[in-house]
Amino acid sequence: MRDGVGAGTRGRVKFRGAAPEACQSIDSSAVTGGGGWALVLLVGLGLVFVLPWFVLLWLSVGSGWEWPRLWPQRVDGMAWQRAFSGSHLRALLQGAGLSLAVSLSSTAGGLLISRSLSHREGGRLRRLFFVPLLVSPAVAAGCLFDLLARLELAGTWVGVFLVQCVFGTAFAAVFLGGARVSGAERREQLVRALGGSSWAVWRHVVLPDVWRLLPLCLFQSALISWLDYGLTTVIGSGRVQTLMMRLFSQIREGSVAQAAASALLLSLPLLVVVLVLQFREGVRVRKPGTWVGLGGLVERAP
Amino acid sequence: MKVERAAGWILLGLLLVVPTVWMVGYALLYSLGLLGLLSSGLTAEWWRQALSGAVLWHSLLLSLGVASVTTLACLVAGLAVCVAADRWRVQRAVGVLLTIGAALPVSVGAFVVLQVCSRGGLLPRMLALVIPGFEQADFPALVNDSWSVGIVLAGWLTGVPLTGLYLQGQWETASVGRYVSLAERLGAGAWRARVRVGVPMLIRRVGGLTWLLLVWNFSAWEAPLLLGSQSPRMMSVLIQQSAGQYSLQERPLSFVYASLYFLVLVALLCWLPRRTKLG
Repeated sequence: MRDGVGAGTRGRVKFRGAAPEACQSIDSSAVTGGGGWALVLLVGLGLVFVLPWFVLLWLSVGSGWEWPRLWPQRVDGMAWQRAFSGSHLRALLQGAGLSLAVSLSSTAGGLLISRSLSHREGGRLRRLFFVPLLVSPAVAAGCLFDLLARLELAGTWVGVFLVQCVFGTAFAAVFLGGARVSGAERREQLVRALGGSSWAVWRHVVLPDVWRLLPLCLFQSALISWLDYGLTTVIGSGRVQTLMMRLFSQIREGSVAQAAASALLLSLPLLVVVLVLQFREGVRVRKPGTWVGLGGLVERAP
Repeated sequence: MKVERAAGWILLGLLLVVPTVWMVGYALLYSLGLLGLLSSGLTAEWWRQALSGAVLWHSLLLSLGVASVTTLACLVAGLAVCVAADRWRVQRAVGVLLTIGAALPVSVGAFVVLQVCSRGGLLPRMLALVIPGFEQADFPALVNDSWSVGIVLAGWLTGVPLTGLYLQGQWETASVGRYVSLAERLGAGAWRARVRVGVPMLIRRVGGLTWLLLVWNFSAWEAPLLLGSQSPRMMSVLIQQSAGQYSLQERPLSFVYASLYFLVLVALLCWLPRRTKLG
């Protein structure tokens, strides 16, 4: 059996003479059952991964959480009212605008870089793209702060935008670099041989190749900005206010309901999109959200 | 065509090469006294000071320890969920639940852990309802504690969905189910077939994911900022807080820490399995 496992992982099946196709005909009912345990598994996973969303909702609608109350003194929508007014709304819109700008610029930049490299075997250089994706944004921002201060961009929206673009472009270059379809170069040559301009190459070869991936790339590079705290807090020096910045301020101030509302506003767009992607065939999101400023790694299903 | 390619190379240089080289180079030169307001020429004083102090080693060990424990916990839970989902034929429902969990950003996950597991959080409140006379102090410190339990919990909460979804994908891609079915046909029990055939096949395929989880957890910042203790601190928190303090004496030290942090990342990058494809 151990031989079979090893062989299986290498794609050579040696199950003591048994053809792998035979497996397909096996009656799966032999291993079904345990409905009660399945329910326990689903309830357990629901408690761990779905309950946090309801906890956030519960925290956001109430106020007055004296110990040991599990429900608030008042259930009102004050936090939500405040979330859509004044400085909170401004932070929300500013963060969304910044994400949009970073997303568009990073995707365009990543596409250009991935095309430039595709003509050479830039394998080693591509490893460089992973550096911004793996370094902690707070550490990166600490090292880049002096550069931006010299350029008089520290504490400005432009400074934060540029640094976020470093991370966004690195992600887009990695993501779109893997989207190179075999034969693309020959098709480009064909378009040019037929008298096509650079625009014609983009229209007939480049864009059709990446068209399916562009929305995902735009979304994930937007997430890098939308969910960023490290870069914005260090480079922005408190002068650049986004929703994530508000969330951390609210947590520090102990404004639980407001922080929960901000957390939900930050996460809900992500939840909607990943659920849509979950049900869409062909694309699988490996990691939405952010760990170290990386908006996500996306795997194209084979 | 030439213009397009030139634009790509310029962008590559300006947006990726310059910042990357600057980050590493600036940290190294600053730590050696060649840059900065306190620069007095080439010196190893800051390195000597950092390496002889306990702060750095405690932080480094804590970061590596937290990263390893979180990664291991994520892998074990992910494998268990993947195998159990296949055993009970609930892959689709499990996939949806994991996806919902995966949509929780780390900072929000850390906030949830803070609100649920802190001494004034929802978990001790529930215990207070059940156990008469239960006080906040009776609840163990899971947040801002010296063992970094809160950081591990937050990492686990956001890491397991990633691991579970990835392993479910691998289960399909590698047709693990077919080999498991064959093992069952050859006489193995349902669990035994999955544990002895499916799990080893999956383990051979999680090298890249393990590496990514390790690096991400080592570099974690938001969760340690909210849930970590003041001493020892995770590496990224230590670096950022040392650089941001008003004392200029701390700045060169922070760049020594940053240089060592980059060194560990490079070591991890070298350790990356050769056949692993990222992205």
